[in-house]
Amino acid sequence: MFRKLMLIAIKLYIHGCSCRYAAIFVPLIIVHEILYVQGMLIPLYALLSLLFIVSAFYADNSLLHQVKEGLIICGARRSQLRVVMYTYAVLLSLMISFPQSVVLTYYGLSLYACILKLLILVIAFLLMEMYVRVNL
Amino acid sequence: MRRDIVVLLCDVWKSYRSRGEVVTALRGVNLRVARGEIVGIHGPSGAGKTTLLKIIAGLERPDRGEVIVEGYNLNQLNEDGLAMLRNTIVSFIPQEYGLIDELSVYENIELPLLLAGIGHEERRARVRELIEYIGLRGKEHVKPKYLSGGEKQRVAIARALANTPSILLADEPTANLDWENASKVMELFKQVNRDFKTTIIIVSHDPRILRFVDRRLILQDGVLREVS
Repeated sequence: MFRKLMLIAIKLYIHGCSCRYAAIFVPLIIVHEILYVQGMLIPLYALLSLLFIVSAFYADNSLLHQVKEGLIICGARRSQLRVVMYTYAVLLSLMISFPQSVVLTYYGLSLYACILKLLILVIAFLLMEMYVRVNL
Repeated sequence: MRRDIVVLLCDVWKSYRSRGEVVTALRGVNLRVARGEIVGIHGPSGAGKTTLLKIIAGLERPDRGEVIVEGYNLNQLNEDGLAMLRNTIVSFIPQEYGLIDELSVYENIELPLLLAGIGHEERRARVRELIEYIGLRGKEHVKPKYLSGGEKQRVAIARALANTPSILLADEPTANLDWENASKVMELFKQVNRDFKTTIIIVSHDPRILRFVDRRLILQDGVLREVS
Protein backbone atom coordinates (compact mmCIF):
# COMPACT_ATOMS: atom_id res chain seq x y z
CA MET A 1 0.00 0.00 0.00
CA PHE A 2 2.85 2.37 0.92
CA ARG A 3 4.38 1.82 -2.54
CA LYS A 4 1.06 2.61 -4.25
CA LEU A 5 0.58 5.77 -2.21
CA MET A 6 4.06 6.87 -3.24
CA LEU A 7 3.07 6.14 -6.83
CA ILE A 8 0.17 8.57 -6.50
CA ALA A 9 2.61 11.21 -5.28
CA ILE A 10 4.91 10.48 -8.24
CA LYS A 11 2.00 10.96 -10.64
CA LEU A 12 1.14 14.20 -8.93
CA TYR A 13 4.73 15.33 -9.31
CA ILE A 14 4.97 14.35 -12.97
CA HIS A 15 2.08 16.70 -13.66
CA GLY A 16 3.56 19.68 -15.50
CA CYS A 17 7.08 18.38 -14.94
CA SER A 18 8.39 19.32 -18.38
CA CYS A 19 6.96 22.85 -18.13
CA ARG A 20 8.52 23.20 -14.73
CA TYR A 21 11.92 22.08 -16.01
CA ALA A 22 11.75 24.63 -18.81
CA ALA A 23 10.79 27.24 -16.24
CA ILE A 24 13.82 26.28 -14.16
CA PHE A 25 16.46 25.80 -16.86
CA VAL A 26 15.81 28.76 -19.14
CA PRO A 27 16.10 31.56 -16.54
CA LEU A 28 18.93 29.67 -14.88
CA ILE A 29 21.01 29.64 -18.05
CA ILE A 30 20.22 33.26 -18.88
CA VAL A 31 20.98 34.55 -15.37
CA HIS A 32 24.07 32.38 -15.22
CA GLU A 33 25.47 33.72 -18.50
CA ILE A 34 24.81 37.33 -17.55
CA LEU A 35 25.89 37.28 -13.95
CA TYR A 36 28.56 34.61 -13.93
CA VAL A 37 30.91 35.51 -11.13
CA GLN A 38 32.12 32.63 -8.98
CA GLY A 39 31.22 34.29 -5.66
CA MET A 40 27.70 35.06 -6.78
CA LEU A 41 26.77 31.55 -7.87
CA ILE A 42 25.73 30.22 -4.48
CA PRO A 43 23.48 33.05 -3.24
CA LEU A 44 22.04 33.34 -6.73
CA TYR A 45 21.13 29.66 -6.95
CA ALA A 46 19.83 29.59 -3.40
CA LEU A 47 17.52 32.49 -4.21
CA LEU A 48 16.38 30.90 -7.48
CA SER A 49 15.67 27.61 -5.72
CA LEU A 50 13.57 29.34 -3.13
CA LEU A 51 11.60 31.12 -5.84
CA PHE A 52 11.10 27.88 -7.79
CA ILE A 53 9.89 25.88 -4.85
CA VAL A 54 7.42 28.52 -3.67
CA SER A 55 6.08 29.01 -7.21
CA ALA A 56 5.80 25.22 -7.71
CA PHE A 57 3.71 24.92 -4.55
CA TYR A 58 1.58 27.83 -5.72
CA ALA A 59 1.15 26.34 -9.22
CA ASP A 60 0.28 22.89 -7.82
CA ASN A 61 -2.12 24.19 -5.22
CA SER A 62 -5.30 23.25 -7.09
CA LEU A 63 -3.93 19.81 -7.94
CA LEU A 64 -2.82 19.22 -4.35
CA HIS A 65 -6.30 20.25 -3.26
CA GLN A 66 -7.91 17.85 -5.75
CA VAL A 67 -5.72 14.95 -4.60
CA LYS A 68 -6.39 15.75 -0.95
CA GLU A 69 -10.17 15.93 -1.54
CA GLY A 70 -10.16 12.71 -3.59
CA LEU A 71 -8.26 10.83 -0.92
CA ILE A 72 -10.44 12.13 1.93
CA ILE A 73 -13.65 11.15 0.10
CA CYS A 74 -12.25 7.64 -0.43
CA GLY A 75 -11.59 7.34 3.30
CA ALA A 76 -7.85 8.01 3.56
CA ARG A 77 -6.53 8.29 7.09
CA ARG A 78 -4.35 11.25 8.05
CA SER A 79 -1.20 9.10 8.01
CA GLN A 80 -1.99 7.95 4.44
CA LEU A 81 -2.54 11.55 3.30
CA ARG A 82 0.79 12.51 4.80
CA VAL A 83 2.62 9.75 2.89
CA VAL A 84 1.34 11.19 -0.40
CA MET A 85 1.99 14.82 0.48
CA TYR A 86 5.50 14.37 1.88
CA THR A 87 6.61 12.09 -0.95
CA TYR A 88 5.49 14.80 -3.32
CA ALA A 89 7.50 17.39 -1.34
CA VAL A 90 10.66 15.25 -1.51
CA LEU A 91 10.31 14.69 -5.25
CA LEU A 92 9.70 18.37 -5.85
CA SER A 93 12.77 19.37 -3.87
CA LEU A 94 14.93 16.82 -5.70
CA MET A 95 13.75 18.08 -9.06
CA ILE A 96 14.38 21.69 -8.18
CA SER A 97 17.80 21.13 -6.66
CA PHE A 98 19.02 18.83 -9.44
CA PRO A 99 19.93 21.39 -12.17
CA GLN A 100 21.51 23.81 -9.71
CA SER A 101 23.59 21.12 -8.06
CA VAL A 102 24.80 19.84 -11.47
CA VAL A 103 26.02 23.34 -12.38
CA LEU A 104 27.60 23.90 -8.97
CA THR A 105 29.36 20.52 -9.11
CA TYR A 106 30.64 21.35 -12.61
CA TYR A 107 32.28 24.47 -11.16
CA GLY A 108 33.87 22.45 -8.37
CA LEU A 109 31.42 23.57 -5.71
CA SER A 110 30.07 20.15 -4.84
CA LEU A 111 29.95 20.84 -1.08
CA TYR A 112 27.70 23.83 -1.71
CA ALA A 113 25.63 21.70 -4.07
CA CYS A 114 24.98 19.26 -1.21
CA ILE A 115 24.13 22.08 1.19
CA LEU A 116 21.76 23.55 -1.38
CA LYS A 117 20.03 20.18 -1.86
CA LEU A 118 19.53 19.83 1.88
CA LEU A 119 18.32 23.40 2.18
CA ILE A 120 15.72 22.90 -0.55
CA LEU A 121 14.58 19.64 1.02
CA VAL A 122 14.07 21.38 4.37
CA ILE A 123 12.16 24.24 2.72
CA ALA A 124 9.94 21.79 0.80
CA PHE A 125 9.16 19.92 4.02
CA LEU A 126 8.40 23.13 5.88
CA LEU A 127 6.09 24.32 3.10
CA MET A 128 4.33 20.95 3.03
CA GLU A 129 4.00 20.94 6.80
CA MET A 130 2.35 24.37 6.57
CA TYR A 131 0.01 23.06 3.84
CA VAL A 132 -0.88 19.96 5.87
CA ARG A 133 -1.51 21.95 9.06
CA VAL A 134 -3.77 24.43 7.29
CA ASN A 135 -5.64 21.98 5.06
CA LEU A 136 -5.90 18.63 6.85
CA MET B 1 -42.87 -4.87 8.94
CA ARG B 2 -40.39 -2.55 10.73
CA ARG B 3 -37.45 -1.65 8.50
CA ASP B 4 -33.88 -1.32 9.69
CA ILE B 5 -32.84 2.38 10.09
CA VAL B 6 -29.37 3.03 8.63
CA VAL B 7 -29.23 6.83 8.89
CA LEU B 8 -30.68 8.68 11.84
CA LEU B 9 -30.37 12.42 12.41
CA CYS B 10 -31.84 13.98 15.56
CA ASP B 11 -32.12 17.76 15.89
CA VAL B 12 -29.04 18.54 13.80
CA TRP B 13 -27.90 22.17 13.62
CA LYS B 14 -25.04 23.55 11.59
CA SER B 15 -23.82 27.11 11.08
CA TYR B 16 -20.78 28.51 9.35
CA ARG B 17 -19.24 31.88 8.69
CA SER B 18 -19.52 33.37 5.23
CA ARG B 19 -18.09 36.82 4.52
CA GLY B 20 -18.13 37.73 8.18
CA GLU B 21 -21.78 36.68 8.66
CA VAL B 22 -23.05 33.59 10.46
CA VAL B 23 -25.18 31.47 8.11
CA THR B 24 -27.33 28.70 9.61
CA ALA B 25 -27.32 25.89 7.04
CA LEU B 26 -29.33 23.33 9.04
CA ARG B 27 -31.98 24.14 11.65
CA GLY B 28 -32.91 21.17 13.80
CA VAL B 29 -32.96 18.57 11.02
CA ASN B 30 -34.51 15.18 11.82
CA LEU B 31 -34.16 12.34 9.34
CA ARG B 32 -34.66 8.57 9.32
CA VAL B 33 -33.61 6.53 6.31
CA ALA B 34 -34.43 2.82 6.12
CA ARG B 35 -32.12 0.22 4.61
CA GLY B 36 -32.52 -0.14 0.86
CA GLU B 37 -34.41 3.12 0.34
CA ILE B 38 -33.68 5.70 -2.34
CA VAL B 39 -34.33 9.10 -0.78
CA GLY B 40 -34.39 12.29 -2.84
CA ILE B 41 -33.82 15.62 -1.11
CA HIS B 42 -34.82 18.57 -3.21
CA GLY B 43 -34.18 22.21 -2.45
CA PRO B 44 -32.89 25.46 -3.91
CA SER B 45 -29.19 26.33 -4.04
CA GLY B 46 -27.88 27.33 -0.63
CA ALA B 47 -30.63 25.45 1.22
CA GLY B 48 -28.08 23.33 3.10
CA LYS B 49 -28.27 20.14 0.98
CA THR B 50 -24.53 19.64 0.58
CA THR B 51 -23.93 20.42 4.26
CA LEU B 52 -26.48 17.74 5.19
CA LEU B 53 -24.76 15.11 3.02
CA LYS B 54 -21.31 16.06 4.33
CA ILE B 55 -22.53 15.64 7.89
CA ILE B 56 -23.89 12.15 7.10
CA ALA B 57 -20.57 11.28 5.40
CA GLY B 58 -18.59 12.50 8.42
CA LEU B 59 -16.88 15.19 6.35
CA GLU B 60 -18.30 17.90 8.61
CA ARG B 61 -19.40 17.77 12.22
CA PRO B 62 -22.72 19.23 13.39
CA ASP B 63 -22.78 22.07 15.93
CA ARG B 64 -25.54 20.25 17.78
CA GLY B 65 -27.54 17.05 17.44
CA GLU B 66 -26.94 13.35 16.93
CA VAL B 67 -25.90 11.64 13.70
CA ILE B 68 -26.06 7.85 13.71
CA VAL B 69 -24.95 5.94 10.62
CA GLU B 70 -25.17 2.13 10.62
CA GLY B 71 -25.16 2.23 14.41
CA TYR B 72 -22.08 4.48 14.67
CA ASN B 73 -22.61 7.73 16.54
CA LEU B 74 -20.46 10.07 14.43
CA ASN B 75 -19.98 12.52 17.32
CA GLN B 76 -18.08 9.79 19.15
CA LEU B 77 -15.76 8.86 16.28
CA ASN B 78 -12.33 10.46 15.88
CA GLU B 79 -10.88 11.46 12.47
CA ASP B 80 -9.53 7.99 11.72
CA GLY B 81 -12.87 6.46 12.70
CA LEU B 82 -14.67 8.75 10.29
CA ALA B 83 -12.13 7.87 7.57
CA MET B 84 -12.89 4.16 8.13
CA LEU B 85 -16.60 4.93 7.88
CA ARG B 86 -16.12 6.74 4.53
CA ASN B 87 -13.91 3.96 3.24
CA THR B 88 -16.21 1.05 3.97
CA ILE B 89 -19.73 2.08 5.01
CA VAL B 90 -20.81 5.38 3.51
CA SER B 91 -19.61 6.66 0.14
CA PHE B 92 -19.95 10.27 -0.90
CA ILE B 93 -20.06 11.44 -4.52
CA PRO B 94 -19.45 15.20 -4.69
CA GLN B 95 -21.03 17.44 -7.32
CA GLU B 96 -17.75 17.76 -9.25
CA TYR B 97 -17.23 13.96 -9.03
CA GLY B 98 -14.11 14.19 -6.82
CA LEU B 99 -11.96 12.22 -9.29
CA ILE B 100 -8.19 12.76 -9.45
CA ASP B 101 -7.25 14.00 -12.92
CA GLU B 102 -3.73 12.58 -12.83
CA LEU B 103 -4.96 9.03 -12.21
CA SER B 104 -6.65 6.84 -14.83
CA VAL B 105 -10.21 5.50 -14.56
CA TYR B 106 -8.76 2.20 -13.26
CA GLU B 107 -6.59 3.91 -10.62
CA ASN B 108 -9.39 6.19 -9.46
CA ILE B 109 -11.68 3.20 -8.87
CA GLU B 110 -8.84 1.29 -7.23
CA LEU B 111 -8.13 4.06 -4.70
CA PRO B 112 -10.65 3.11 -1.93
CA LEU B 113 -9.56 -0.55 -2.21
CA LEU B 114 -5.93 0.48 -1.91
CA LEU B 115 -6.65 2.60 1.16
CA ALA B 116 -8.53 -0.34 2.70
CA GLY B 117 -5.42 -2.50 2.30
CA ILE B 118 -6.96 -4.98 -0.17
CA GLY B 119 -4.44 -7.22 -1.96
CA HIS B 120 -3.38 -6.70 -5.58
CA GLU B 121 -5.25 -9.62 -7.18
CA GLU B 122 -8.48 -8.93 -5.35
CA ARG B 123 -8.22 -5.23 -6.23
CA ARG B 124 -7.71 -5.96 -9.88
CA ALA B 125 -10.67 -8.33 -10.05
CA ARG B 126 -12.96 -5.88 -8.24
CA VAL B 127 -11.95 -2.89 -10.40
CA ARG B 128 -12.50 -4.87 -13.61
CA GLU B 129 -15.89 -6.02 -12.36
CA LEU B 130 -16.90 -2.42 -11.57
CA ILE B 131 -15.66 -1.07 -14.91
CA GLU B 132 -17.75 -3.73 -16.61
CA TYR B 133 -20.73 -2.83 -14.43
CA ILE B 134 -20.68 0.87 -15.38
CA GLY B 135 -20.14 0.03 -19.04
CA LEU B 136 -16.75 1.68 -19.48
CA ARG B 137 -14.72 -1.33 -20.65
CA GLY B 138 -11.91 -0.15 -22.89
CA LYS B 139 -11.57 3.15 -21.05
CA GLU B 140 -9.64 1.79 -18.05
CA HIS B 141 -6.51 3.76 -18.86
CA VAL B 142 -8.17 7.01 -19.89
CA LYS B 143 -7.79 9.99 -17.57
CA PRO B 144 -11.01 11.58 -16.28
CA LYS B 145 -10.36 14.87 -18.08
CA TYR B 146 -10.92 13.05 -21.41
CA LEU B 147 -14.32 11.64 -20.36
CA SER B 148 -17.77 13.17 -20.82
CA GLY B 149 -19.78 14.38 -17.80
CA GLY B 150 -21.92 11.23 -17.83
CA GLU B 151 -18.86 8.97 -17.98
CA LYS B 152 -17.18 10.86 -15.13
CA GLN B 153 -20.30 10.39 -13.04
CA ARG B 154 -20.24 6.64 -13.81
CA VAL B 155 -16.60 6.42 -12.72
CA ALA B 156 -17.45 8.32 -9.52
CA ILE B 157 -20.27 5.82 -8.86
CA ALA B 158 -17.95 2.86 -9.51
CA ARG B 159 -15.35 4.30 -7.14
CA ALA B 160 -18.04 4.86 -4.52
CA LEU B 161 -19.09 1.20 -4.85
CA ALA B 162 -15.57 -0.22 -4.64
CA ASN B 163 -15.78 -1.36 -1.02
CA THR B 164 -19.51 -2.24 -1.31
CA PRO B 165 -20.74 0.42 1.11
CA SER B 166 -24.24 0.12 2.51
CA ILE B 167 -24.97 3.84 1.97
CA LEU B 168 -24.34 6.00 -1.09
CA LEU B 169 -24.64 9.79 -0.92
CA ALA B 170 -24.82 11.74 -4.18
CA ASP B 171 -24.58 15.52 -4.29
CA GLU B 172 -26.31 16.99 -7.37
CA PRO B 173 -25.41 13.98 -9.56
CA THR B 174 -27.20 15.41 -12.59
CA ALA B 175 -26.20 19.06 -12.24
CA ASN B 176 -23.62 19.02 -15.06
CA LEU B 177 -25.57 16.71 -17.41
CA ASP B 178 -28.23 17.10 -20.08
CA TRP B 179 -31.53 15.37 -19.37
CA GLU B 180 -30.75 12.26 -21.44
CA ASN B 181 -27.52 11.61 -19.57
CA ALA B 182 -29.11 12.63 -16.27
CA SER B 183 -31.82 9.96 -16.76
CA LYS B 184 -29.17 7.33 -17.52
CA VAL B 185 -27.28 8.22 -14.34
CA MET B 186 -30.48 8.06 -12.28
CA GLU B 187 -31.28 4.65 -13.83
CA LEU B 188 -27.81 3.52 -12.82
CA PHE B 189 -28.52 4.56 -9.21
CA LYS B 190 -31.73 2.50 -9.32
CA GLN B 191 -29.79 -0.46 -10.71
CA VAL B 192 -27.18 -0.12 -7.95
CA ASN B 193 -29.97 -0.05 -5.37
CA ARG B 194 -31.48 -3.23 -6.83
CA ASP B 195 -28.22 -5.13 -7.33
CA PHE B 196 -26.36 -4.26 -4.14
CA LYS B 197 -29.29 -3.30 -1.84
CA THR B 198 -27.49 0.00 -1.28
CA THR B 199 -29.34 2.77 0.54
CA ILE B 200 -29.07 5.91 -1.60
CA ILE B 201 -29.57 9.55 -0.61
CA ILE B 202 -29.57 11.99 -3.52
CA VAL B 203 -29.75 15.75 -3.16
CA SER B 204 -30.62 17.95 -6.10
CA HIS B 205 -32.09 21.29 -7.00
CA ASP B 206 -33.66 19.61 -10.06
CA PRO B 207 -37.19 18.39 -9.17
CA ARG B 208 -37.22 16.03 -12.19
CA ILE B 209 -34.91 13.55 -10.44
CA LEU B 210 -37.57 12.98 -7.76
CA ARG B 211 -39.45 10.66 -10.12
CA PHE B 212 -36.62 8.12 -9.71
CA VAL B 213 -36.71 7.97 -5.88
CA ASP B 214 -38.81 6.07 -3.30
CA ARG B 215 -39.24 8.96 -0.86
CA ARG B 216 -39.11 12.71 -1.40
CA LEU B 217 -38.03 15.39 1.03
CA ILE B 218 -37.64 19.14 0.70
CA LEU B 219 -34.89 21.13 2.37
CA GLN B 220 -35.56 24.83 2.49
CA ASP B 221 -33.76 27.40 4.63
CA GLY B 222 -32.19 24.60 6.63
CA VAL B 223 -35.50 22.92 7.48
CA LEU B 224 -36.25 19.42 6.18
CA ARG B 225 -39.80 18.22 5.55
CA GLU B 226 -41.46 15.26 3.90
CA VAL B 227 -43.34 15.58 0.59
CA SER B 228 -46.52 13.55 0.44
